[in-house]
Amino acid sequence: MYRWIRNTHLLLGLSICLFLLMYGLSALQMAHPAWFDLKPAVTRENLVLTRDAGSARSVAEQLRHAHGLRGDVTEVKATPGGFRFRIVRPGENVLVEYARASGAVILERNALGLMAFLNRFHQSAGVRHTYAWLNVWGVLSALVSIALILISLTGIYMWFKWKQERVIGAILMAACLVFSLTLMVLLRTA
Amino acid sequence: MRRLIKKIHTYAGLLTFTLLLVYGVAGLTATFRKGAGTAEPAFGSPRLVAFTLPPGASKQQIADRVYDRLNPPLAERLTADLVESDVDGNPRLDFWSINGTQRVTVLAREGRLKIEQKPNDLPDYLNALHATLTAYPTSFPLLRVWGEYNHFGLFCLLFLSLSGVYLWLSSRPRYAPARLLAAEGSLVFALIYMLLR
Repeated sequence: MYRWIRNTHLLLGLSICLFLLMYGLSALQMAHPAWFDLKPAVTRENLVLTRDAGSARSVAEQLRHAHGLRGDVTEVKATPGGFRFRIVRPGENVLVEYARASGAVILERNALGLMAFLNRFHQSAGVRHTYAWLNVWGVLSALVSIALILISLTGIYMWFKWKQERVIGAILMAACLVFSLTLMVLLRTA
Repeated sequence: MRRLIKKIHTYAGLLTFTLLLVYGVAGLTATFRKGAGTAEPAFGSPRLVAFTLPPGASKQQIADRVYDRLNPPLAERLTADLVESDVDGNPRLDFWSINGTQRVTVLAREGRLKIEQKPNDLPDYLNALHATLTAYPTSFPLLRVWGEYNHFGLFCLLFLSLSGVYLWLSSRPRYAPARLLAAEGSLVFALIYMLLR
């Protein structure tokens, strides 16, 4: 039993190690926003696509094929001559303005630096995106969460089986539980 | 050295056990609640309380007077730019806290406040807790203490990840399933990183 639990702890930990480091680093950025510069690099481009495109989705599709723009199509709004929307993924946020009559497109590309990307990566969730890889990430983040819970539980078992550390461990564990659960109850009932 | 790292790894895990579970539940909540298209819970039935507003009050004065009147628990004061209007043009304020949202509509002509609650259930509460960090200024000591604990937890998470790899490499580096899973995890991470970058 112990060997099986130890191997499970190790294998789960190794398979999600980089994900946990990403979560830890991005949380560090969120806790210390002044330490990092999150300003995106902004560039503007003018393009011409087919006229009278029926929807933002079809313009986004053309932009994906011809110019490699990938991401969720969001914030679609009608404008007097066409529409405006965003193509968003954690690494880039592109504002698209499309004119129906001429097919002219103005792109404002906001490319995020590493820490800003990690921030968006951390906060991307769910499985109802129009960009399929964001849905894949949604499923992966759920798997990472399940693995994290299992790692925590198997870790408790492994500590309990480590007899020399039982007393100190029990004190630390009790301190953690009393402190955190009391705080959680106080906050919940405030 | 290995024994010391193993001890600290164990202690760090024990001290942050609750936090790690909170992070896990928060991740699942974010996937299945926030982003799976489930309907947002509606606000509950409104209650009314008496409230007088001086004529010509600015948005900031409205926000402050409503806050002083209600003292919504664990919710911060609002700035003027967060005061919205409902369809009838009445000022509307959403006081967010880790336990949910309290929506207040100022019915100035009637001399009342309409108060509606949208409480967070347990998973949403845990999700809000996991995002409570020291970076966000708060006037509530309990939230500050939780923020500090969360801050400690994020350093522990980084340490646990790195020390876990060290403990593997210093004990069973040739263990084939571990090599396979480490490679698989790295490959999946690299792929999703490149696709979303």
